[in-house]
Amino acid sequence: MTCREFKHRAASLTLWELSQAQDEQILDHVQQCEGCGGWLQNQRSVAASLHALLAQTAGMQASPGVERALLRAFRQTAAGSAPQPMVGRVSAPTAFRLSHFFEIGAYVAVAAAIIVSVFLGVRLLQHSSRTVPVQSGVTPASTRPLMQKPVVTAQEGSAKLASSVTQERVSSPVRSRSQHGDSARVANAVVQTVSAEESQSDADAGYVALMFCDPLSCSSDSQVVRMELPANGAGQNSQPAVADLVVGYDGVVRAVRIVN
Amino acid sequence: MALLTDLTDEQLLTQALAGDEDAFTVLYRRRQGPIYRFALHMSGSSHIAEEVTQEVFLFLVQRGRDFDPERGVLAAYLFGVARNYVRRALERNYPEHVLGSPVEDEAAALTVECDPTEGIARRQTSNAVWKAVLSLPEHYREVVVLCDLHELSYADAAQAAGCAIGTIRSRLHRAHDMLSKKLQHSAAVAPGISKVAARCVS
Repeated sequence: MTCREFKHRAASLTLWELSQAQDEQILDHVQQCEGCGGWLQNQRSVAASLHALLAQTAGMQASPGVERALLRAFRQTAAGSAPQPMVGRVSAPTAFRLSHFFEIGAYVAVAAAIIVSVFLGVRLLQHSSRTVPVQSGVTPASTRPLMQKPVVTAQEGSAKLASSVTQERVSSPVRSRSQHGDSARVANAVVQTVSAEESQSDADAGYVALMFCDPLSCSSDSQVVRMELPANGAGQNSQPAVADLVVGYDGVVRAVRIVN
Repeated sequence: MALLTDLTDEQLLTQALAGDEDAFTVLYRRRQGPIYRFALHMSGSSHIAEEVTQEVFLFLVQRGRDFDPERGVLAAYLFGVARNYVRRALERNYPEHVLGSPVEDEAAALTVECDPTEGIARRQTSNAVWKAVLSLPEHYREVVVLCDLHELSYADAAQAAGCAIGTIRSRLHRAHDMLSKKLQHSAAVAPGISKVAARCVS
Protein backbone atom coordinates (compact mmCIF):
# COMPACT_ATOMS: atom_id res chain seq x y z
CA MET A 1 0.00 0.00 0.00
CA THR A 2 1.34 3.40 -0.92
CA CYS A 3 0.95 6.53 1.14
CA ARG A 4 -1.58 7.85 -1.36
CA GLU A 5 -3.70 4.72 -1.06
CA PHE A 6 -3.41 4.94 2.72
CA LYS A 7 -4.68 8.52 2.78
CA HIS A 8 -7.47 7.65 0.35
CA ARG A 9 -8.64 4.77 2.50
CA ALA A 10 -8.28 6.77 5.71
CA ALA A 11 -10.43 9.56 4.29
CA SER A 12 -13.31 7.15 3.77
CA LEU A 13 -13.34 6.21 7.45
CA THR A 14 -14.75 8.23 10.28
CA LEU A 15 -12.51 9.33 13.10
CA TRP A 16 -13.79 6.56 15.34
CA GLU A 17 -13.34 3.91 12.69
CA LEU A 18 -9.88 5.20 11.98
CA SER A 19 -8.86 5.26 15.63
CA GLN A 20 -9.88 1.65 16.00
CA ALA A 21 -8.67 0.54 12.61
CA GLN A 22 -8.02 -3.16 12.37
CA ASP A 23 -7.40 -3.20 8.67
CA GLU A 24 -4.24 -5.21 8.13
CA GLN A 25 -3.17 -3.21 5.12
CA ILE A 26 -3.43 0.01 7.06
CA LEU A 27 -1.57 -1.39 10.03
CA ASP A 28 1.17 -2.82 7.81
CA HIS A 29 1.64 0.51 6.05
CA VAL A 30 1.74 2.38 9.36
CA GLN A 31 4.52 0.12 10.59
CA GLN A 32 6.50 0.69 7.41
CA CYS A 33 5.85 4.43 6.94
CA GLU A 34 6.85 6.69 9.76
CA GLY A 35 4.97 9.71 8.43
CA CYS A 36 1.67 7.89 8.01
CA GLY A 37 2.23 6.27 11.42
CA GLY A 38 2.60 9.67 13.06
CA TRP A 39 -0.46 10.97 11.26
CA LEU A 40 -2.55 8.02 12.41
CA GLN A 41 -1.29 8.49 15.96
CA ASN A 42 -2.39 12.12 15.84
CA GLN A 43 -5.83 11.07 14.60
CA ARG A 44 -6.12 8.62 17.46
CA SER A 45 -5.18 11.32 19.97
CA VAL A 46 -7.81 13.64 18.53
CA ALA A 47 -10.39 10.87 18.64
CA ALA A 48 -9.58 10.10 22.25
CA SER A 49 -9.79 13.76 23.23
CA LEU A 50 -13.11 14.24 21.46
CA HIS A 51 -14.38 11.08 23.09
CA ALA A 52 -13.58 12.51 26.49
CA LEU A 53 -15.50 15.67 25.61
CA LEU A 54 -18.39 13.63 24.28
CA ALA A 55 -18.56 11.62 27.48
CA GLN A 56 -18.43 14.78 29.56
CA THR A 57 -21.42 16.38 27.82
CA ALA A 58 -23.45 13.27 27.06
CA GLY A 59 -26.09 13.87 29.73
CA MET A 60 -26.76 17.52 28.99
CA GLN A 61 -30.17 18.59 27.78
CA ALA A 62 -32.49 21.56 27.76
CA SER A 63 -34.29 22.57 30.94
CA PRO A 64 -37.95 21.58 31.52
CA GLY A 65 -38.99 25.21 31.10
CA VAL A 66 -38.23 24.97 27.39
CA GLU A 67 -40.58 22.02 27.00
CA ARG A 68 -43.36 23.82 28.86
CA ALA A 69 -42.97 26.91 26.72
CA LEU A 70 -42.97 24.85 23.54
CA LEU A 71 -46.07 22.93 24.57
CA ARG A 72 -47.83 26.23 25.25
CA ALA A 73 -46.86 27.43 21.80
CA PHE A 74 -47.95 24.13 20.28
CA ARG A 75 -51.41 24.37 21.86
CA GLN A 76 -51.87 27.90 20.64
CA THR A 77 -50.76 26.97 17.16
CA ALA A 78 -53.08 23.99 17.15
CA ALA A 79 -55.91 26.25 18.32
CA GLY A 80 -55.26 28.48 15.30
CA SER A 81 -53.87 31.50 17.10
CA ALA A 82 -50.40 32.91 16.90
CA PRO A 83 -48.02 31.58 19.54
CA GLN A 84 -47.14 33.80 22.45
CA PRO A 85 -43.68 35.27 22.69
CA MET A 86 -41.23 32.83 24.17
CA VAL A 87 -39.32 33.18 27.39
CA GLY A 88 -36.36 34.86 25.75
CA ARG A 89 -38.50 37.42 24.00
CA VAL A 90 -40.30 38.82 27.00
CA SER A 91 -38.27 41.99 26.89
CA ALA A 92 -39.41 42.96 23.40
CA PRO A 93 -42.86 44.40 24.34
CA THR A 94 -41.30 46.30 27.25
CA ALA A 95 -38.76 47.83 24.91
CA PHE A 96 -41.55 48.73 22.52
CA ARG A 97 -43.50 50.45 25.30
CA LEU A 98 -40.39 52.36 26.38
CA SER A 99 -39.72 53.46 22.83
CA HIS A 100 -43.35 54.62 22.57
CA PHE A 101 -42.91 56.77 25.68
CA PHE A 102 -39.68 58.16 24.28
CA GLU A 103 -41.50 59.02 21.07
CA ILE A 104 -44.20 60.96 22.92
CA GLY A 105 -41.55 62.70 24.99
CA ALA A 106 -39.71 63.71 21.85
CA TYR A 107 -42.88 65.27 20.40
CA VAL A 108 -43.49 67.22 23.61
CA ALA A 109 -39.88 68.43 23.65
CA VAL A 110 -40.10 69.60 20.03
CA ALA A 111 -43.37 71.45 20.72
CA ALA A 112 -41.86 73.14 23.78
CA ALA A 113 -38.80 74.15 21.78
CA ILE A 114 -41.01 75.71 19.09
CA ILE A 115 -43.02 77.68 21.67
CA VAL A 116 -39.90 78.96 23.42
CA SER A 117 -38.25 79.93 20.14
CA VAL A 118 -41.37 81.85 19.03
CA PHE A 119 -41.51 83.66 22.37
CA LEU A 120 -37.83 84.56 22.21
CA GLY A 121 -38.21 85.69 18.62
CA VAL A 122 -41.03 88.07 19.54
CA ARG A 123 -39.00 89.43 22.42
CA LEU A 124 -36.02 89.92 20.17
CA LEU A 125 -38.09 91.80 17.61
CA GLN A 126 -39.47 94.06 20.30
CA HIS A 127 -36.02 94.69 21.65
CA SER A 128 -34.53 95.47 18.25
CA SER A 129 -37.35 97.91 17.47
CA ARG A 130 -36.45 99.79 20.63
CA THR A 131 -32.75 99.91 19.99
CA VAL A 132 -32.86 101.12 16.37
CA PRO A 133 -33.03 104.89 17.19
CA VAL A 134 -30.09 104.67 19.52
CA GLN A 135 -27.95 103.04 16.90
CA SER A 136 -28.80 105.72 14.37
CA GLY A 137 -27.27 108.40 16.50
CA VAL A 138 -30.39 110.56 16.47
CA THR A 139 -31.77 111.64 19.78
CA PRO A 140 -34.39 109.35 21.18
CA ALA A 141 -36.93 112.09 21.44
CA SER A 142 -37.17 112.43 17.70
CA THR A 143 -38.19 108.85 17.13
CA ARG A 144 -41.44 109.02 19.05
CA PRO A 145 -43.80 111.25 17.14
CA LEU A 146 -46.58 110.95 19.65
CA MET A 147 -44.40 111.53 22.64
CA GLN A 148 -45.04 114.75 24.37
CA LYS A 149 -41.82 116.60 24.79
CA PRO A 150 -41.44 118.90 27.71
CA VAL A 151 -39.49 122.04 27.09
CA VAL A 152 -37.76 123.70 29.96
CA THR A 153 -37.12 127.38 29.94
CA ALA A 154 -35.29 129.36 32.50
CA GLN A 155 -37.89 131.52 34.01
CA GLU A 156 -37.27 134.98 35.15
CA GLY A 157 -40.84 135.81 35.78
CA SER A 158 -43.80 133.84 36.90
CA ALA A 159 -45.93 134.83 33.92
CA LYS A 160 -44.48 132.19 31.70
CA LEU A 161 -45.10 129.63 34.32
CA ALA A 162 -48.77 130.20 34.06
CA SER A 163 -48.79 129.52 30.34
CA SER A 164 -47.14 126.18 30.54
CA VAL A 165 -49.38 123.22 29.95
CA THR A 166 -47.65 120.94 32.30
CA GLN A 167 -45.14 121.93 34.82
CA GLU A 168 -42.98 119.95 37.04
CA ARG A 169 -39.64 120.14 38.59
CA VAL A 170 -36.74 118.72 36.74
CA SER A 171 -35.35 115.69 38.39
CA SER A 172 -32.50 116.22 40.74
CA PRO A 173 -29.63 114.74 38.65
CA VAL A 174 -30.26 117.20 35.89
CA ARG A 175 -30.38 119.99 38.28
CA SER A 176 -27.26 118.93 40.03
CA ARG A 177 -25.45 118.60 36.75
CA SER A 178 -26.44 122.07 35.62
CA GLN A 179 -25.58 123.48 38.97
CA HIS A 180 -22.17 121.97 38.69
CA GLY A 181 -21.32 124.43 35.88
CA ASP A 182 -22.80 127.63 37.13
CA SER A 183 -25.56 127.16 39.61
CA ALA A 184 -26.04 130.81 40.21
CA ARG A 185 -26.96 131.62 36.64
CA VAL A 186 -29.69 129.06 36.36
CA ALA A 187 -32.51 130.64 38.20
CA ASN A 188 -35.12 128.06 37.58
CA ALA A 189 -35.79 125.13 35.32
CA VAL A 190 -39.30 124.14 34.45
CA VAL A 191 -40.47 121.33 32.30
CA GLN A 192 -43.00 122.34 29.73
CA THR A 193 -44.86 119.95 27.55
CA VAL A 194 -45.42 120.87 23.92
CA SER A 195 -47.05 119.07 21.06
CA ALA A 196 -45.19 116.37 19.20
CA GLU A 197 -45.68 117.94 15.79
CA GLU A 198 -44.10 121.12 17.01
CA SER A 199 -41.01 119.47 18.28
CA GLN A 200 -40.69 117.03 15.42
CA SER A 201 -39.50 119.63 13.00
CA ASP A 202 -36.63 120.91 15.03
CA ALA A 203 -35.78 117.88 17.05
CA ASP A 204 -33.53 116.18 14.56
CA ALA A 205 -31.33 119.10 13.64
CA GLY A 206 -28.30 120.23 15.53
CA TYR A 207 -28.18 117.76 18.34
CA VAL A 208 -24.78 116.52 19.37
CA ALA A 209 -24.58 113.26 21.18
CA LEU A 210 -22.76 113.58 24.45
CA MET A 211 -22.17 109.96 25.28
CA PHE A 212 -22.34 106.41 24.10
CA CYS A 213 -25.21 105.08 26.05
CA ASP A 214 -26.14 101.48 26.38
CA PRO A 215 -29.30 100.31 24.60
CA LEU A 216 -31.26 99.74 27.77
CA SER A 217 -30.95 103.30 29.06
CA CYS A 218 -31.33 104.85 25.61
CA SER A 219 -34.46 102.91 24.89
CA SER A 220 -36.18 104.44 27.89
CA ASP A 221 -38.23 107.57 27.56
CA SER A 222 -36.50 110.90 27.56
CA GLN A 223 -37.39 114.50 27.55
CA VAL A 224 -36.04 117.66 26.04
CA VAL A 225 -35.09 120.35 28.48
CA ARG A 226 -34.45 123.87 27.28
CA MET A 227 -31.93 125.68 29.38
CA GLU A 228 -31.47 129.38 29.24
CA LEU A 229 -28.38 130.86 30.76
CA PRO A 230 -28.12 134.57 31.55
CA ALA A 231 -25.74 136.72 29.58
CA ASN A 232 -22.26 136.49 30.81
CA GLY A 233 -20.84 139.87 30.05
CA ALA A 234 -22.05 143.39 30.75
CA GLY A 235 -22.10 144.38 27.10
CA GLN A 236 -25.31 145.13 25.20
CA ASN A 237 -24.78 142.42 22.60
CA SER A 238 -24.53 139.77 25.09
CA GLN A 239 -27.57 137.49 24.91
CA PRO A 240 -28.62 134.65 27.14
CA ALA A 241 -27.52 131.29 25.86
CA VAL A 242 -30.34 128.88 25.11
CA ALA A 243 -29.69 125.17 24.69
CA ASP A 244 -31.87 122.08 24.37
CA LEU A 245 -30.78 119.08 26.38
CA VAL A 246 -32.11 115.58 25.79
CA VAL A 247 -32.33 114.12 29.26
CA GLY A 248 -33.28 110.60 30.04
CA TYR A 249 -35.40 109.67 32.99
CA ASP A 250 -32.29 108.35 34.60
CA GLY A 251 -31.07 111.92 34.68
CA VAL A 252 -28.25 111.54 32.21
CA VAL A 253 -27.96 114.04 29.41
CA ARG A 254 -27.76 112.28 26.12
CA ALA A 255 -27.54 115.12 23.58
CA VAL A 256 -27.33 118.84 23.45
CA ARG A 257 -28.19 121.54 20.91
CA ILE A 258 -27.29 125.17 21.10
CA VAL A 259 -30.29 127.15 20.02
CA ASN A 260 -28.70 130.59 19.63
CA MET B 1 -47.70 7.07 24.54
CA ALA B 2 -46.14 3.60 24.43
CA LEU B 3 -47.14 3.23 20.80
CA LEU B 4 -45.88 6.64 19.91
CA THR B 5 -42.35 5.82 21.03
CA ASP B 6 -42.18 3.15 18.35
CA LEU B 7 -42.88 5.60 15.57
CA THR B 8 -40.18 7.20 13.49
CA ASP B 9 -39.40 10.88 13.68
CA GLU B 10 -41.18 11.57 10.44
CA GLN B 11 -44.34 9.80 11.56
CA LEU B 12 -44.29 11.67 14.85
CA LEU B 13 -43.94 14.94 13.00
CA THR B 14 -46.89 14.12 10.78
CA GLN B 15 -49.06 13.40 13.79
CA ALA B 16 -47.81 16.45 15.64
CA LEU B 17 -48.64 18.69 12.70
CA ALA B 18 -52.11 17.18 12.74
CA GLY B 19 -52.48 18.50 16.30
CA ASP B 20 -51.34 15.53 18.35
CA GLU B 21 -49.62 17.03 21.37
CA ASP B 22 -48.36 13.68 22.64
CA ALA B 23 -46.59 13.01 19.36
CA PHE B 24 -44.92 16.38 19.57
CA THR B 25 -43.86 15.68 23.16
CA VAL B 26 -42.31 12.35 22.20
CA LEU B 27 -40.52 13.89 19.26
CA TYR B 28 -39.23 16.74 21.38
CA ARG B 29 -37.96 14.46 24.14
CA ARG B 30 -36.26 12.26 21.60
CA ARG B 31 -34.47 15.03 19.73
CA GLN B 32 -33.98 17.89 22.15
CA GLY B 33 -30.85 16.42 23.74
CA PRO B 34 -28.79 16.18 20.53
CA ILE B 35 -29.97 19.59 19.38
CA TYR B 36 -29.12 21.12 22.73
CA ARG B 37 -25.67 19.51 22.78
CA PHE B 38 -25.02 20.51 19.18
CA ALA B 39 -25.73 24.14 20.03
CA LEU B 40 -23.69 23.81 23.22
CA HIS B 41 -20.70 22.36 21.40
CA MET B 42 -20.93 25.01 18.71
CA SER B 43 -21.33 28.00 21.00
CA GLY B 44 -19.88 26.98 24.35
CA SER B 45 -22.84 28.69 26.01
CA SER B 46 -25.67 26.85 27.76
CA HIS B 47 -27.82 29.96 27.44
CA ILE B 48 -27.45 29.97 23.67
CA ALA B 49 -27.98 26.21 23.55
CA GLU B 50 -31.28 26.49 25.38
CA GLU B 51 -32.44 29.39 23.26
CA VAL B 52 -31.53 27.54 20.06
CA THR B 53 -33.33 24.39 21.18
CA GLN B 54 -36.46 26.38 21.80
CA GLU B 55 -36.24 28.16 18.48
CA VAL B 56 -35.67 24.94 16.55
CA PHE B 57 -38.75 23.20 17.86
CA LEU B 58 -40.83 26.34 17.59
CA PHE B 59 -39.76 26.48 13.95
CA LEU B 60 -40.84 22.85 13.61
CA VAL B 61 -44.27 23.64 15.06
CA GLN B 62 -44.79 26.59 12.76
CA ARG B 63 -43.10 25.42 9.56
CA GLY B 64 -42.78 21.68 9.96
CA ARG B 65 -44.71 21.19 6.71
CA ASP B 66 -41.69 22.47 4.82
CA PHE B 67 -39.79 19.33 5.73
CA ASP B 68 -39.36 16.96 2.78
CA PRO B 69 -38.61 13.33 3.84
CA GLU B 70 -37.18 12.59 0.41
CA ARG B 71 -34.30 14.98 0.97
CA GLY B 72 -33.10 13.38 4.20
CA VAL B 73 -33.97 12.35 7.70
CA LEU B 74 -35.65 14.65 10.19
CA ALA B 75 -32.67 14.57 12.57
CA ALA B 76 -30.37 16.04 9.94
CA TYR B 77 -33.06 18.59 9.05
CA LEU B 78 -33.24 19.66 12.69
CA PHE B 79 -29.45 19.96 12.87
CA GLY B 80 -29.57 22.17 9.81
CA VAL B 81 -32.17 24.44 11.40
CA ALA B 82 -30.17 24.50 14.63
CA ARG B 83 -27.03 25.39 12.71
CA ASN B 84 -28.68 28.48 11.30
CA TYR B 85 -30.01 29.56 14.70
CA VAL B 86 -26.60 29.01 16.28
CA ARG B 87 -25.01 31.23 13.67
CA ARG B 88 -27.53 33.98 14.35
CA ALA B 89 -27.08 33.63 18.08
CA LEU B 90 -23.30 33.80 17.77
CA GLU B 91 -23.51 36.91 15.62
CA ARG B 92 -25.83 38.45 18.20
CA ASN B 93 -24.02 37.38 21.37
CA TYR B 94 -20.43 37.02 20.24
CA PRO B 95 -18.82 39.11 23.01
CA GLU B 96 -20.90 37.32 25.60
CA HIS B 97 -20.04 33.75 24.80
CA VAL B 98 -16.37 34.43 23.99
CA LEU B 99 -15.85 30.79 23.21
CA GLY B 100 -15.98 29.87 26.84
CA SER B 101 -16.28 26.36 28.13
CA PRO B 102 -19.03 25.58 30.64
CA VAL B 103 -17.85 22.04 31.16
CA GLU B 104 -16.71 22.64 34.70
CA ASP B 105 -20.00 24.14 35.82
CA GLU B 106 -22.53 21.89 34.18
CA ALA B 107 -20.98 18.61 33.23
CA ALA B 108 -19.28 18.18 36.57
CA ALA B 109 -22.63 18.10 38.28
CA LEU B 110 -23.89 15.37 35.95
CA THR B 111 -21.00 12.95 36.08
CA VAL B 112 -20.30 10.57 38.92
CA GLU B 113 -16.61 10.22 39.53
CA CYS B 114 -15.21 6.83 40.37
CA ASP B 115 -11.84 8.34 41.13
CA PRO B 116 -11.49 12.04 42.06
CA THR B 117 -8.02 12.35 40.57
CA GLU B 118 -9.13 10.75 37.38
CA GLY B 119 -12.19 13.00 37.32
CA ILE B 120 -10.11 16.13 37.62
CA ALA B 121 -7.77 15.00 34.87
CA ARG B 122 -10.67 14.19 32.58
CA ARG B 123 -12.34 17.50 33.25
CA GLN B 124 -9.15 19.35 32.43
CA THR B 125 -8.85 17.35 29.26
CA SER B 126 -12.42 18.11 28.30
CA ASN B 127 -11.91 21.80 28.88
CA ALA B 128 -8.79 21.87 26.76
CA VAL B 129 -10.44 19.90 23.96
CA TRP B 130 -13.54 22.03 24.04
CA LYS B 131 -11.52 25.19 23.85
CA ALA B 132 -9.62 23.76 20.92
CA VAL B 133 -12.89 22.86 19.17
CA LEU B 134 -14.37 26.27 19.85
CA SER B 135 -11.29 27.97 18.49
CA LEU B 136 -11.75 26.32 15.10
CA PRO B 137 -13.27 28.37 12.30
CA GLU B 138 -17.02 27.89 12.11
CA HIS B 139 -17.07 25.74 8.95
CA TYR B 140 -14.56 23.31 10.43
CA ARG B 141 -16.12 23.37 13.88
CA GLU B 142 -19.53 22.37 12.62
CA VAL B 143 -18.26 19.31 10.75
CA VAL B 144 -16.30 18.19 13.79
CA VAL B 145 -19.37 18.61 15.99
CA LEU B 146 -21.70 16.92 13.51
CA CYS B 147 -19.51 14.03 12.43
CA ASP B 148 -17.28 13.38 15.44
CA LEU B 149 -19.34 14.46 18.42
CA HIS B 150 -22.79 13.57 17.07
CA GLU B 151 -21.67 10.76 14.82
CA LEU B 152 -23.71 11.80 11.84
CA SER B 153 -22.90 10.13 8.56
CA TYR B 154 -21.25 12.22 5.90
CA ALA B 155 -24.52 12.30 3.97
CA ASP B 156 -26.53 13.53 6.94
CA ALA B 157 -23.85 16.06 7.84
CA ALA B 158 -23.90 17.29 4.26
CA GLN B 159 -27.67 17.72 4.47
CA ALA B 160 -27.39 19.60 7.75
CA ALA B 161 -24.56 21.83 6.57
CA GLY B 162 -26.10 22.33 3.15
CA CYS B 163 -23.05 21.29 1.15
CA ALA B 164 -21.68 18.31 -0.75
CA ILE B 165 -20.32 15.16 0.86
CA GLY B 166 -16.88 15.80 -0.58
CA THR B 167 -16.85 19.20 1.09
CA ILE B 168 -17.64 17.57 4.41
CA ARG B 169 -14.79 15.11 3.97
CA SER B 170 -12.22 17.73 3.06
CA ARG B 171 -13.33 20.04 5.83
CA LEU B 172 -13.21 17.23 8.34
CA HIS B 173 -9.75 16.19 7.24
CA ARG B 174 -8.51 19.75 7.56
CA ALA B 175 -10.30 20.22 10.89
CA HIS B 176 -8.63 17.13 12.34
CA ASP B 177 -5.22 18.43 11.35
CA MET B 178 -5.93 21.80 12.91
CA LEU B 179 -7.31 20.20 16.02
CA SER B 180 -4.31 17.93 16.35
CA LYS B 181 -1.94 20.90 16.14
CA LYS B 182 -3.94 22.84 18.70
CA LEU B 183 -4.02 19.92 21.07
CA GLN B 184 -0.32 19.33 20.72
CA HIS B 185 0.25 22.86 21.97
CA SER B 186 -2.02 22.27 24.88
CA ALA B 187 -0.76 20.65 28.03
CA ALA B 188 -3.93 18.67 28.20
CA VAL B 189 -2.81 16.46 25.39
CA ALA B 190 -0.59 14.11 27.30
CA PRO B 191 0.15 10.49 26.53
CA GLY B 192 -2.20 9.45 29.29
CA ILE B 193 -5.22 11.26 27.91
CA SER B 194 -6.28 8.57 25.51
CA LYS B 195 -6.01 5.99 28.25
CA VAL B 196 -8.14 8.04 30.67
CA ALA B 197 -10.73 8.77 27.99
CA ALA B 198 -10.92 5.20 26.84
CA ARG B 199 -11.29 3.87 30.34
CA CYS B 200 -13.99 6.30 31.41
CA VAL B 201 -16.01 6.06 28.25
CA SER B 202 -16.05 2.31 28.36
